Amino acid sequence: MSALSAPLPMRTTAAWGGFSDVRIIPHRYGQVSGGLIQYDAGGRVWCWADHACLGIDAVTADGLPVSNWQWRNDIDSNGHAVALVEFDQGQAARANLVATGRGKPHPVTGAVMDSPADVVWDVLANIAGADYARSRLDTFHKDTLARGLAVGGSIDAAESAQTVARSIAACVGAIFSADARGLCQLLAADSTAPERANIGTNCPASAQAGIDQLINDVVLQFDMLDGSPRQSLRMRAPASIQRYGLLAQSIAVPWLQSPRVAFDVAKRLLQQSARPQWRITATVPRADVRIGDTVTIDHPICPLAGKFVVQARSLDLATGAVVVDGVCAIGALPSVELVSQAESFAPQQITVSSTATATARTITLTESGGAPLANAQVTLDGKITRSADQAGRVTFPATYMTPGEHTLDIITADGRAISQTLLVS
Amino acid sequence: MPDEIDRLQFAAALLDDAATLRADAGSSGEGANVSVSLRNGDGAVSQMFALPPLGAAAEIVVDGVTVFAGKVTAIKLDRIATVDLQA
Repeated sequence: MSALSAPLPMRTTAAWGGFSDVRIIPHRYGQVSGGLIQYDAGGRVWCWADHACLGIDAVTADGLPVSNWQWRNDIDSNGHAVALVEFDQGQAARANLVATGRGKPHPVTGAVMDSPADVVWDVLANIAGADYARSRLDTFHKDTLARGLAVGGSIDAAESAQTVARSIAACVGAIFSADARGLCQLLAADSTAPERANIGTNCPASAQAGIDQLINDVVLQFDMLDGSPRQSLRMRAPASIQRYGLLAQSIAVPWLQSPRVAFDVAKRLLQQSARPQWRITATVPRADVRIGDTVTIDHPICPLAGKFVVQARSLDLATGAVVVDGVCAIGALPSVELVSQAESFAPQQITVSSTATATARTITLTESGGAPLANAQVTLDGKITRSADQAGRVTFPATYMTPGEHTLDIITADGRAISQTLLVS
Repeated sequence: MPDEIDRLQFAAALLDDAATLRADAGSSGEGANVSVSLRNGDGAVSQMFALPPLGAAAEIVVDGVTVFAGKVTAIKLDRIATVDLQA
């Protein structure tokens, strides 16, 4: 077992007999896209995950779909289960190969593991080796299941277990703490967690509120690939904007893949953060209050009587008293609205075929729908530029098209810039 | 539901302490701001600010003269309540 603050013991490609460069072999969860790692010297076999997966559904090279591949779960040179993609010919090491698939299966049900509770537990117990029973996450599992909150993502960096768990929890609008009875807890306006303590007149307490804590316009960036979002969603709380001015924030949620889940998370975030909040700090005369517990407060210094969820605590060992921090949102739930939903531009799909004579090679460029790329300007390897004819055909001297890989930089007649790779045998 | 406050006026007689008003037109871009301290031993300020008047217009009046006008940006409630104002 390693400390939750220690880097996760991830395997790297150095564990194999040969490697292109030393990289962490990822763990993948849910429906997720991620880069392939070269597994054999010839570039035919590539690794997607450091475990068996439920399937790989698509592979792209430099953003364009390819079909000359098969996936399989296999055993690597160390006897470790891996998910592999094998191409019918070697792929260039610099090609940006990305596979989209269904990640690690649930150890009991065999279904895709996309419950936030299951993923957090797998990270803590199975990867970090921490001694946590899955049952501690039962309430979180039930709450996220009821809201249909599924996650998908990859662990492909040397992060600690608690960093990963906090990221997963934050992405679905929850908190994670090893201190919490349920490890993770969803932050919802309608929280029904049982009360653990009461802060009365004799407890030192204070409260603070600031306009910099408000958010009334939020952009969630999700469906990440190599750290870049492929989708975003913007929501706002109009009444709050009118009252306090525009207080916008953009938040990356790398474990979210679905617009529906992002909508739920953004809605709860605005319901909490678009209205004033009191951050309450109080001393509780008992030591068994934990993060995630609910405490009630009825104190002359505090502006409102009510309950809040403990988000931080410190224990005074001399007195046994616990100082707790929590947030209490004030006023009616604000109405929120969806402003926009966006996807990154899909890669442009161009088909390239070529025929050769003794002195020249003719390349034919067609759109994915079959229409020729008429009159396109095509630059070969940055050296020579030719114009395509009405049929999308462009001819280069054979001396420029030696066997090997060539780059075509294409400017279409309607101004699109497309880069394409052509292999000449 | 607590009442919403749109405008605050602090008379000198009510203030426990008021920090020096600071204004800077230099390259830092800092605006004029001030913190106002109010006696809150009986919780009266807490009750008045149950719905924190963030963004509300506020001014400090001394001897009938407005010496500062701005908006409420933060509030801290303890035995002494602190209200941060920014022009």
